[in-house]
Amino acid sequence: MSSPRLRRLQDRTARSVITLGGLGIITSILGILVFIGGEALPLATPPSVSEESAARGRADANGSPTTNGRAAGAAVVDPGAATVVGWNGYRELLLRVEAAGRASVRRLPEQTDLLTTQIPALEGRTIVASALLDDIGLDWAVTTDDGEIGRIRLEEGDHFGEQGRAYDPSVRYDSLAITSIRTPRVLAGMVDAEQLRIGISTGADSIALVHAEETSNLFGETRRSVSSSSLPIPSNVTVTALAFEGSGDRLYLGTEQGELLEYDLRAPGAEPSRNQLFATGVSALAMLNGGHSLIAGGRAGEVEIWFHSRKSVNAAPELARAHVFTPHENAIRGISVSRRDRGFLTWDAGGEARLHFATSGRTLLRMRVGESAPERVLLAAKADGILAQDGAGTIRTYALHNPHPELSAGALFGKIQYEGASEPLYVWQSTGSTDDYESKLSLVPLIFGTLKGTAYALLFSVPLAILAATYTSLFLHARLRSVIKPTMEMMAALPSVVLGFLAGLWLAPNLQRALPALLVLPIALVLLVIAAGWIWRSLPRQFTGRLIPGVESLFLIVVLAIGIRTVFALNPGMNALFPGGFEDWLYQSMGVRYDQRNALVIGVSMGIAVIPIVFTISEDSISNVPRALWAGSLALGASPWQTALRVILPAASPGIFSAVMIGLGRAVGETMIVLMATGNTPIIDWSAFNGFRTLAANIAVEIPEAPQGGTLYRLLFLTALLLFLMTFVVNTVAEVVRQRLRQRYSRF
Amino acid sequence: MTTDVEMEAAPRATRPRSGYWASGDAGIWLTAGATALCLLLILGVFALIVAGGLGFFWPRAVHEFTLADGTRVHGQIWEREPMPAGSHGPGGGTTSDAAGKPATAGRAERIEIKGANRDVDASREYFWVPAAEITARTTPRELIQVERLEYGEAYGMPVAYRWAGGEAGGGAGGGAGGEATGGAAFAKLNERWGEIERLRRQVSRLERKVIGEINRELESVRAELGSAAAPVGPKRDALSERARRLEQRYAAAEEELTALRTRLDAESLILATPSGAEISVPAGGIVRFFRPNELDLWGKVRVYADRMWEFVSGTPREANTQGGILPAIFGTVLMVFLMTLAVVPLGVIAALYLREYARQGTMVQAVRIAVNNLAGVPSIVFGIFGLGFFVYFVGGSIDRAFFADRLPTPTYGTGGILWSALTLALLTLPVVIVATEEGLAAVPRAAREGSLALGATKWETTWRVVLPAASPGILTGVILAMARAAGEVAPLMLTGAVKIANDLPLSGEFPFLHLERKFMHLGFHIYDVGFQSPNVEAAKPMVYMTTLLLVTLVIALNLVAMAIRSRLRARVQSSHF
Repeated sequence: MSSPRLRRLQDRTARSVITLGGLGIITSILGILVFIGGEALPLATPPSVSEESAARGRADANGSPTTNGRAAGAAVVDPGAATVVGWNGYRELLLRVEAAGRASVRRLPEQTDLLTTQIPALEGRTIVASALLDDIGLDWAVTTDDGEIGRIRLEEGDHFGEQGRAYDPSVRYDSLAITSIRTPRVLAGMVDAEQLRIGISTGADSIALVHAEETSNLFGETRRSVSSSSLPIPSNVTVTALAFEGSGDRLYLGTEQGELLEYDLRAPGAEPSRNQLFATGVSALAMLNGGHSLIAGGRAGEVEIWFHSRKSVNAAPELARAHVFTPHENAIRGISVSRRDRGFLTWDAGGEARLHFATSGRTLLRMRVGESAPERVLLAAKADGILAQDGAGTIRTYALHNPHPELSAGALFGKIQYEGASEPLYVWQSTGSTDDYESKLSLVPLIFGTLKGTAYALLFSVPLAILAATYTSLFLHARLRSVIKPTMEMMAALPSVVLGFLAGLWLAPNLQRALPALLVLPIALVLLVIAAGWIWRSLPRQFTGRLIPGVESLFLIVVLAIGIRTVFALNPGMNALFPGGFEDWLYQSMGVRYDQRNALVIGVSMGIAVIPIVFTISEDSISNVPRALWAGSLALGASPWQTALRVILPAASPGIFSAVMIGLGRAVGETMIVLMATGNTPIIDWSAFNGFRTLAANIAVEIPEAPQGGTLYRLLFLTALLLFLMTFVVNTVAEVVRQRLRQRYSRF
Repeated sequence: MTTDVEMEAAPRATRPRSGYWASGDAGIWLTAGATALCLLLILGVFALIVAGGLGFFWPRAVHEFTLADGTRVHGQIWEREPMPAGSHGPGGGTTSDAAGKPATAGRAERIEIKGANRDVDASREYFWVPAAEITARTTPRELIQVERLEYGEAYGMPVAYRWAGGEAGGGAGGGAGGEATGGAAFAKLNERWGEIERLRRQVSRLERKVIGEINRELESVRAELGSAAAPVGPKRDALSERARRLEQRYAAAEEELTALRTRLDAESLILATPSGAEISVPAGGIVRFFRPNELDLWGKVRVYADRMWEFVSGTPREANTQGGILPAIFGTVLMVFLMTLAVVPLGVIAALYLREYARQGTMVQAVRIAVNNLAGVPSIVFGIFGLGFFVYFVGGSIDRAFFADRLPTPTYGTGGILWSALTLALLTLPVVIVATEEGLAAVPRAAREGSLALGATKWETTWRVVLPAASPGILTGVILAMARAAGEVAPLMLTGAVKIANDLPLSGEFPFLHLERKFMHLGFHIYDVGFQSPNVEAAKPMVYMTTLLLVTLVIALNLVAMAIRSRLRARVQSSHF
């Protein structure tokens, strides 16, 4: 033996190690919850905007004083009236072209000029108007005072150098067309891989359209063809804004009178369709990312989104108002669209800019840009910055932190008017085939699916498990019980992937074949059992009396097996009763589609997973009801069944309740069975014959495609948190109820 | 902690009181029916797995079917079922016609034939035929069934066995190339089989060991030469010299391999399908061959045993639908082992703290409930936690700290066996804590007090008296945790299980245990092969067998836990005084 001091030291060390270790382990278990919550938390952070130079830790170049903490007068690049302003995707290049054709490209945030040049073609001429062709400001349509329509482009010449990204920029100017009108005004343009379209106001009542197409022939030579045409406009309107739809096939005109004119450019000469947008004039139009939704800004500050949708399946798509945002206080001056998501920026004559998100119809952010009314405000390509140029030519840049614009309580739990849909819907469809896909992130179908799966599983398992528990604990001989109970518990150990596999590959196809038989089965089995009991009773007592109580159940296994076999053998006959088979009949006359992997399959397979849990806990709690109650009731003349039903089960009901709760917890979180046997379609429909998608299965399905830190990734953590809390609360309630019950009966 | 008040010999269900209905005996029968149905479900699930799994490896007769349209095909009878309503043969009869004769429709049967020869006609691998359309069925004794490395099985009548010149001819050919035709082909193949297997072993040894190892070494040398911190001067020369020698060795091995392959490819078995097509199976591509219709019971048992052995000791082939599952067994066992290493100390310390060291009160009771309920938290939640915390956070940090040169290719920052094991350790921690606590609670107070009274410190009492007495409880918990971990799939999908892992996490290559590697897992294998496989029908046997293996493993672990627990109970009860 070691010395007493050593032993004391040993004892104390052990105590502190175990205490610290134990506390540490328990804390870290609870840390799981904290971590999952922490991963989901950034979803709730509101968007914020900060003045760029401060954000990048650079001293203000011009030293303008900052007023009242707002981003005012900082980040001044330099004054000078540029008519063309834009920056690149990394917000590192700033393009400016002055009216006289002097172009400069500046590296941000260092503010070093990479290029200052006079565009030769614009020597001696003046740019009178400009419009964006892309949304970020590197591609512009301009008109000159002598009637030329041209295109200015910044070529970034980006490459990787010693210190990361480096640029070798150049500015290109192309002349597209010459009009006879002096000082034409460009209203809008669009460009994609194949074509370029520009709309120009050539006077009070006429619009000219320039259409350039680049075609490559077999030998890789590109030929450009430019055509221009004029658009007839109704006599009593004045066009104030213009936007091309994403495909370039449709043109929208906004008018002084508040009207929206819609031209189909594939049918030249056709009359425009007209919609009254606002009471006052339309002052800005733009297309949302994806090119299908029209954003309209009004003279009275209105901001609305319109898109084509069908009122019914067969109707032609019609332009309809989809979202209305809180109006600005002043007239809308312009709209800048995010190229990354469904967000856009509107700014008004009063110098206020607002960031909106179209899908959820929310305004995310309000800010003042500059001190005077801005001349032009641009949202960066990645929607992570805002550039504002005021009337004096001062350019300010702001960093925008808005990583999860698409999420809000409304988007997750409310009905959302998605682009092209005729009405607001609950939809989960996180990713689509195209980059400009509108993510549909409603959790409602998933929560519904979870509840539906749970409901069907409990519907199947709870009655069976509780009845079986009643029988096992009250009417079964102890010797049989000691076999049957562990057997049932063994079922709980069955890996759920095994049940899922059997459900998906064996049960689902077989159920489809034997559907009518399955629907008949519950009734048939109840009748069969009752009949079997009747026959057993009438067996000679010399025979049945010698058997231990509970052997009936073994006899019933055989009876049931034969019964089930018989019912399924009759299935073809039952199927033949319906013209074309039951499944066909179901669809033809009831309009019910039968999916092979459906809620019935889940009910049975997940039920099998839940039965042992509910059974074990119910059986325990029924067995725990004091024997005195049983004996007393029988002594008073009640039959065993009456005693069981009216005395024992009510007494055990809290325990049975907690059993059901724990079973529910298991069903809510079950992943593999649902993943393998439901088809994972996130639809909202209570029908037993179609599938669903649960929160748990959704995590398994989507997480491989969710980039770390992205919206979907965090959203999946949020659903995991939901699942965690749901099951934790349910289990805790069950546990507390069970402990209460135990205390109550410890008196006996 | 359940009941001490056991109700022995419960009242008789069929007590003659009043009527069947009035006394409620019918209700009791219903409860009995529910019990019976639950038992039937369990038995059914197990029977399904056993029947589905064990039957597939048994060699079945291969018939030659002549169909109504005159085509002939070799195949096994895979399944029979009544004709589904509404479809009565290809193009046979209109719907009204069929509806008019429900009786015949009900009796008609269709047969699923499992053909082979996927390379000749993939549509004839598994297909349904109405029984009425099979006009003739023969069972040719000469027919050969070949399991191939590629394209699944081949069935056919032997045409010839060919071999080229050189040694390949062996005794029979005597130097020149040759051909054994007809029935002699089978005998010839049998004769050559030993030699072919020897050559194949050499090929696989060369492929896996020699070329693989040389390649790895060469890669590391090249990486060293190419890295920024490459040595200069004589050291560099030595390195390049080593690389050159490795390259030479590689070339030599490759040459040897080519020679072996040529020898194997020079021999082939030619089979004829009844449609007249000829299939040439190179000897190197034959896994197993036999005449299914000629096998006696012993022969069948041998084929069965051979297939079974391949299943448990081989590696997967053909997108996991053929071959064995050794990597999955290995991955499962290693993962469970790692998990056990992590969960036992954590669980035991936490339980010791809760039961022996913490002051019992509401707080500890609340913690106990919380820990208990953690066992009910869905496993996918643990999975996503493991992905976010272990893989991205911890793994990502390790990568940035130690493997920065390999970035952006992640080393630990992606799923791996270590992360899976740790995730499952968290998942099963409540199981171990609860079982250990139960074991500790069952240690009689007298034992503790006796030890303390004799002058032992608390730690000595805990270590020498309490823990040994509680060890069966701990063991029960550990085994239950292992069973749970072996069967759990959802968290593994997110943290490192993959459909096919070429490199086992344990190898002869330094550092021997590759904790960052992805691994195969039995449960994930079931999910993947059953649901992600392009040919589900062909994959089913594998899935059933894997299921059977997994279920056996899990049930066995549970039975052991149960046995230990009941022994523990018996001992605790006997030690009451």
